Amino acid sequence: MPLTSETQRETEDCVRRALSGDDNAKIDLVRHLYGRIHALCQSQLRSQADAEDAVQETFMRGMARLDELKSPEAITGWLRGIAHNVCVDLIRRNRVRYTSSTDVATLPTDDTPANITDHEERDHLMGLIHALPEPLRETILLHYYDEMTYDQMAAWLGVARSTVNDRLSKARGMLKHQLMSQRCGDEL
Amino acid sequence: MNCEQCNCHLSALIDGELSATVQREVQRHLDKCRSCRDALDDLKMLDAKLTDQLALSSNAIDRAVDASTTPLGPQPSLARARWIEQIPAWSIVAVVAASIALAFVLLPRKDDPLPGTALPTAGRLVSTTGSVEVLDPESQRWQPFVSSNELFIGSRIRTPVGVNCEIEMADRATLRLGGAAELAIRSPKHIEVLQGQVWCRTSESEPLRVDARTPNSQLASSMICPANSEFQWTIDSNRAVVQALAGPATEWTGTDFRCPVGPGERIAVDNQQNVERSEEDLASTKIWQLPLLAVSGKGQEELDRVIEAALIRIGRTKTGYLDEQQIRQLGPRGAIPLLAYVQSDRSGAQVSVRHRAMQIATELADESASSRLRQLSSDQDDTIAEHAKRALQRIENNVQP
Repeated sequence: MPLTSETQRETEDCVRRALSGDDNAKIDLVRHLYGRIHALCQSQLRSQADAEDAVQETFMRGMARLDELKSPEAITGWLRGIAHNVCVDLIRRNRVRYTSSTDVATLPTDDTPANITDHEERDHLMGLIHALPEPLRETILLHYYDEMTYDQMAAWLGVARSTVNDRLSKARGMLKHQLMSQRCGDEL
Repeated sequence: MNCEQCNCHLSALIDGELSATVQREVQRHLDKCRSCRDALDDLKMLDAKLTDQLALSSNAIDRAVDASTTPLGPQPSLARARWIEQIPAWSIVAVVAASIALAFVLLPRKDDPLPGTALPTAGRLVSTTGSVEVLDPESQRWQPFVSSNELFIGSRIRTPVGVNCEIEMADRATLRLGGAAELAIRSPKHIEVLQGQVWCRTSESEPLRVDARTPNSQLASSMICPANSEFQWTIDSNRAVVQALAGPATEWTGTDFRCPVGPGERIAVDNQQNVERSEEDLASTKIWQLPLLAVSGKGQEELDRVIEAALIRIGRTKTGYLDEQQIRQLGPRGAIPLLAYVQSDRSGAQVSVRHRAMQIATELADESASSRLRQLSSDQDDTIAEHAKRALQRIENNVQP
């Protein structure tokens, strides 16, 4: 695992600039990290609205307390920690919304109609993703919400590159299986 | 290459993450194997669907940018996330300045109480990792601190080597003493550090005056810690060091010196009044407090943060190595906070840090950690459970790690 991948260096530069009072750096930092923080929050929170709220709250707290961060390289763990706490708070307060964002059952069934609308399809997919074990969840969301290489993802998640590979493989395999078995169900 | 091997690489293939060599081998297999080609097609379809469905809303990003870069207000609650009360920064500064001015006015000129009057309580001992001694202003002898746990104006407190304690002052400031430290309480808003390491965090509304003195007053100094700040002092016979860990800037004055202290700065002054400033890496400054945080009921969040800040760097940087050494120097007492971290909700989000904490904890642990280790031997994470079982075995057999 490389010590500092390119995206980590960019992030640290942004942090340094933000710490020295450059307000544009804060904007850059939020945009730069939005995708990966969204992946983390969405992996914990079923509803997209909740995830977006959590991401916003994370950045508000983080940017307000950026001067607590004295070493730019600590930004990853620190911001992830804030995001995790925000999600836990939200879950505790909104138990109902954690389990389902719609009134419809979240788990796929064989009666899923073939012509579901786009919004429902997305919700359905998120339900399948949320049925995955937690480490796979965040990794697959991270891959699609942010544009990082396996090495960069490994550095952000604090795991080995081979772990990223395994998790993506497994997650895609499980999702493919779920979606395929539904297709077969529809055809019957 | 067989189908099972090829399958492991398909994900990386569509993401462009395979090395040229492996990619060639995979392609060779795909050329010959229909079922793997089908599997690849299915994967590509899934990938297209996921790419299509999992898109970020640019409105949401803009909202997050706006929300986090507008001027500060008080920490908004999640429910008000989209309607922040914006208090302009200047008014916060005015409030802090006013409370500092007020503190000067309120501090009694004479700090010692009149003889014969009842001593008002200035603070109380909240938690400790061992026994602590107190010198009451009325008696002349040091006595072990007993259950009444109230501290009076004019008391002195000291810790033996290896014992830390936490004090809550009447105006809600929190103080922590390291081993072989001593401080004197002048009033609920005024303390004097005489020896060792003392950390303080002021309450949200009250400043605290902290004097620091080396033996024989060769160096005598004073500082007002503003409300909502965190500082740490280290005093030995030759010098006084202040580290500003959080909160607004302030000023440190002594007989022959006067320096501003900004957040993140470390200032050392010796008996000859030579001043040395540096920027300090703060992640490791509170490692010594870990055993105390593990003992006090409300320390979990702080403990988690200190451990994460330290461990996230281990294996990556030289300072990470030094942090690890500092943690190891805590010995068996260091195992407890590490295990408390492994058991906390928060560590679940940081798998590799959690593993590192577990690894170090199992090397340091002795019988005092047994019950936590037993709980962890049925942890969902196999690595953690394995470490816990091995550590318990070692402790039971009394074998050196």
